[in-house]
Amino acid sequence: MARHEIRYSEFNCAPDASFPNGQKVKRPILPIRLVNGGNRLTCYAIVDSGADHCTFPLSFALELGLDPLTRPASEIAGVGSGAVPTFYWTIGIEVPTIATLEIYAGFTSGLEGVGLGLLGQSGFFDRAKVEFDHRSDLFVIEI
Amino acid sequence: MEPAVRDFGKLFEGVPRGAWVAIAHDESRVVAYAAEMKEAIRKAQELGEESPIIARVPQSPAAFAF
Repeated sequence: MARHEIRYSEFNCAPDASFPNGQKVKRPILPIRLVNGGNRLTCYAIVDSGADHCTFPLSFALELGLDPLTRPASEIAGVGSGAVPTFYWTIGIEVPTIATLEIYAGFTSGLEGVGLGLLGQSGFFDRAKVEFDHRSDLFVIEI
Repeated sequence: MEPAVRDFGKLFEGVPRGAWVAIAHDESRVVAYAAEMKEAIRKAQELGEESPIIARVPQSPAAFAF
């Protein structure tokens, strides 16, 4: 297995009651390409050990030519919201210079607000060894 | 393999919250943005960026807990 060291990316969070000066947060982000036949979309995804499945914003499915009206919906849950409908298809994921995977991925309106995908346990962590080394500003993927 | 974007706060400077952004394939800059993803892609392609990286400036500037 090849070992890939990747630096965390930083995002700004606005000031609020608990963090009056705002905060910078580090997230383990990868640029990836979603593939469905001849349709492709390049986006970012968080390597998210807390996600059960690989999941993406629903609008990504539409861009890939996938029609949620043709699929039954399942429900997934996250912090602060009830379960949201999620539609699943088998798609390709290309992680440039690392791997190309075929996964059963969910697409949900629940991720529209953040515009990022989640690389979760089923489909990603079950195929890759992942180490998080926040103090060194690195995460490592072996696949 | 290394994402070029280390600081998304800096990359997204000047882009309205909630906007879809089309980022250059080398991750060096935001090529275009729009309220709709398709529009951001279309604008980027008009500017010569055939396969932009799509992202969104979060609607809520809060921390994530998925």
